[in-house]
Amino acid sequence: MEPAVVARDLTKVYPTSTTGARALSGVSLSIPAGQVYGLIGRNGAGKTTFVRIGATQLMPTSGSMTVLGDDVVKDAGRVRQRIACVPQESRPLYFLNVDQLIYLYLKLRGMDRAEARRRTDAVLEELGLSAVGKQLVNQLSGGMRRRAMVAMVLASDAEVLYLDEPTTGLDPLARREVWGAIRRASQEHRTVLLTTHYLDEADALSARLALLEGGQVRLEGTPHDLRARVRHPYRVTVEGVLGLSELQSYGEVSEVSGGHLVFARESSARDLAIYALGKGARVSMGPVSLEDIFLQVVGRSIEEDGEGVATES
Amino acid sequence: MSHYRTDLKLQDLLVASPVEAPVYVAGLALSELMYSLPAMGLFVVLLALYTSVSLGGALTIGLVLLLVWAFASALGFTLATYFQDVRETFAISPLISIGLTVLPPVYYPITYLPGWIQPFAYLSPTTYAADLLHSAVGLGNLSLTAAATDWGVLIAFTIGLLLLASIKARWREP
Repeated sequence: MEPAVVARDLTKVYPTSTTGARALSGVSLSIPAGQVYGLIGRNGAGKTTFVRIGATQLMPTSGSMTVLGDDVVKDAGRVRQRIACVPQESRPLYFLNVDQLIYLYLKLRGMDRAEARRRTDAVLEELGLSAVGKQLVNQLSGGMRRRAMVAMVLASDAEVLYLDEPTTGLDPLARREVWGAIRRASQEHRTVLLTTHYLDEADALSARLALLEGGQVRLEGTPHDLRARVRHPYRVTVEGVLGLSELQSYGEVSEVSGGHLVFARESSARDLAIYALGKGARVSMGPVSLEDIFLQVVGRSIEEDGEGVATES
Repeated sequence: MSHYRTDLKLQDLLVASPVEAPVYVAGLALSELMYSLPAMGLFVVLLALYTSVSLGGALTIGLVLLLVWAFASALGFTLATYFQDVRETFAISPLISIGLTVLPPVYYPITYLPGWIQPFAYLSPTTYAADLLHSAVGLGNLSLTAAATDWGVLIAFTIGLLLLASIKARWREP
């Protein structure tokens, strides 16, 4: 299958940067068509910069990027016909109601009235917004407004959707509704490039993932690939009698509430589990989570702010 | 326009779509015009009550306002694409306001200004618009040459600012 988005040696230095810091540094990615592709990383890792270049909102400093075969710099007009984007921290026009907001966006994209009407009604239903369809946007909660933004883009006929942290501020139920809509978009063979801070979200939705840190791709592949590629692909939680020194020979150990967490290779994890059970400890074992992978690769939690380029907002 | 771009990210939303910059600017300019309609309506009523405007005068008023609306929108859009935060407009807006409404003879005849300031007023396109409007409502008489000059300069400013917008406004950020 042809990739939908291809970035080659993409580099971005913001003109306003006084230090010449690279927001992106030689990023090469190939994003398959018709799938959800997750872009994860801390604040300032370069996720939004990558999305903004792909969405033709920002010029790259060097390197190239194509969307459905068209260059984002030279053929921006053609690219724009086929993409849609929910920008990070974007807010809807407050003087419209939700229905008008979505309908207007579709009309602006050149859709005919009947189709715009049909898609507006469908997306309102799909994202649980029908009850507030006639309410002014400024009367809605922050989460509802965010959902309205996502609805606009999902209702479009764009083949490539850029969703830059689309579920920030949503409650768990609303997040699930947006997840469902994103999954349906990929079932319709649309490509979704999703940036998110929520690693469970990236894990649940993405067919492939790229982990960005300091403007570079540190890890890329399917969630299964990512687990296979880290040094310690298994996690063992041991609660009970075993001390730190006994556990260190099996892998990387950290203290957690009530016990220890050990990241280990498969055989070591199995040996540890058998040994700990024999000593009467409570043990749970499984493959590492995306959060664990992030911690192993980056050395810090995703919640910790990066040294990112300040102009990336 | 800066608020729509930096706070709502409306420009980013529409850049990543088939919408083109002139449509975006025209849309925002029209929406801003909506807010001005009540005041414009009031001025029309006052004009009808206290002055006698000929058909030519009414046409002049309409055309001049159209040109002012066009160049102000082009200027506003161009500047808005350079601001990173809406608060930056707080510093620039008063300066533009002085240049476009206080310095030019919008609220008074240009002869009221000190002699050394008058040449600066002619650097602003609003001066020529105000001259034409004053004449249209009977607040001054313009010779044919002066009227032609005013029209010429006003149109040139409008074309210049529209060109500036098309060349220098940043639909996509560098």
